[in-house]
Amino acid sequence: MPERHERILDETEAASWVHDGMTIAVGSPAPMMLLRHIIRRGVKNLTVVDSGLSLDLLIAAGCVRKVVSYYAGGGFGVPVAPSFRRAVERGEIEVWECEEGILTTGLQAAAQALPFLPWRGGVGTSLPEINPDLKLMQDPIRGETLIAVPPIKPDLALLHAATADAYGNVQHCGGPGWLDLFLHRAADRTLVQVERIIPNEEVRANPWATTIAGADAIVRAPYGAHPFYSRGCYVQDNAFLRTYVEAATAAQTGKPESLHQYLTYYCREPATHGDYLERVGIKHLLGLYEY
Amino acid sequence: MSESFSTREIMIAAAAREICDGEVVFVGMRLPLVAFAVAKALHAPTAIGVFENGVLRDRSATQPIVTMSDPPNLDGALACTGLLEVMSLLQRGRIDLGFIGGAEIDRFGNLNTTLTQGVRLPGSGGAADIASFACRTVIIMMHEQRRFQEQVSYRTSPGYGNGADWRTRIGLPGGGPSKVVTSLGVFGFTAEGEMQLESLHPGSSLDDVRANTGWPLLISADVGETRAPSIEEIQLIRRFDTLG
Repeated sequence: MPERHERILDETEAASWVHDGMTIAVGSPAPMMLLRHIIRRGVKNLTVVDSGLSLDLLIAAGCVRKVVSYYAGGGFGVPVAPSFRRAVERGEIEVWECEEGILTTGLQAAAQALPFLPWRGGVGTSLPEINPDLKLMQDPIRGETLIAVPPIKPDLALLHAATADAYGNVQHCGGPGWLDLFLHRAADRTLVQVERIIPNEEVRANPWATTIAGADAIVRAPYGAHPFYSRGCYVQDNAFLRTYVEAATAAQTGKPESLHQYLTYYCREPATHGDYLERVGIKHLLGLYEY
Repeated sequence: MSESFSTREIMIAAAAREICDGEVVFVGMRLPLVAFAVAKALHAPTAIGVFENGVLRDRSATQPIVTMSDPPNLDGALACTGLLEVMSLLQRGRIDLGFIGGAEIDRFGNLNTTLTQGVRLPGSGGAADIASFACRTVIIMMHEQRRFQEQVSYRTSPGYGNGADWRTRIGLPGGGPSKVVTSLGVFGFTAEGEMQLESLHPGSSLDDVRANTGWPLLISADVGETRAPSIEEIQLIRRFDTLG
């Protein structure tokens, strides 16, 4: 039998997969360890499929040229992701506007290597006017008006999950939820950071729990989704996220110092994920238990 | 015997009353989440809540949740499915009621959550799909003149378009907005799809509503006062609305 190849990368190797100008898709919870490496390396001109505060952080750090955007909410008292808002209003980033159903339809078109798939949501909205890639069409069967959604095809999907074996068989804890599998199926390659690497036999013991068979690479990342949650491991660090939102909001009103500090102290200075976790503090991290 | 209550509390109470027993409700975060919990405890014990992340639950979460994927929203759920599953429920017409909000609304109940004069907003999320496919929607908004425009500058989530049979003509299967619960009152829609005042919250006046609405508003012939939240409703709201 030919020998199987292990697909474990260290965090620096993994981060070197991301190049200037690529299209990356970010899963949920966001693979923050990898995103912090992207920021540290100063990657530029990314097209990003993502929403919320992980997207906002990449924009704040100057990594983003274009966003495939269906929702950029802020939370913590701020309705709109603050850096996203500022960058769009100043014309610094381009937005490929869509909505949730259209996003999943475009990802599915990429997964099936089709030129488009139809979706009805968005008919009667302003979307086709501001995103000329979305074409109103008459369906050839019943003549109904639908939207033809072109493929949304990331070069790389970056995901976070609970466990995987060395060969890239991923088991999300409590199901993949949200968009992770849409992103994986659409992308050319999938890179998954995990809380823990498990023996291959443990995967075989419960193959129904395998959510992605054969991701292209696996990276160890205990607490790697911090400040977001990781099911089966820890909850979202709302106090920490609030600090970011406040800093990013202040930057919007001409006070960029705390945002710069945040980016320097948590993203640019720590050379490794271990260095980052040290800055956050073990006591703080251990307080994020689920139950 | 009455208890004083806030604007937020009467909005939650009014939204909760829109949920009927046995209905499948696309809930959402914040205010509708509290309304759902209140309705479950009072008049809609068998209603089922559906969340965008695929969670289906027939019990309210016992702990506060900030995001729909927080553990308390997963614990005790009936099912944790995925986006495709709940989008399919929507498209097959199996969601009775969906709650949505917006930054701007117009006289035909179209919503804008994408951009207004130079200001960038979050975008649709799943709201355009809920507005297109749910059997009916209830819209919750603060009532301010800048938000109540004769015509929204950008249509994120379709209401009744430009009125009359617009939804049927363009092929939207869902029923459209049934109510708008604002900080000043509760509004319904005429057969022509135009928003109409149905009740004023205690303490707000017709003048307040007119001054904060950017078009000549229709007023129902039997406009009344929104029923003040009962003591029971207020207690439940305060129990569930822990995040303020």
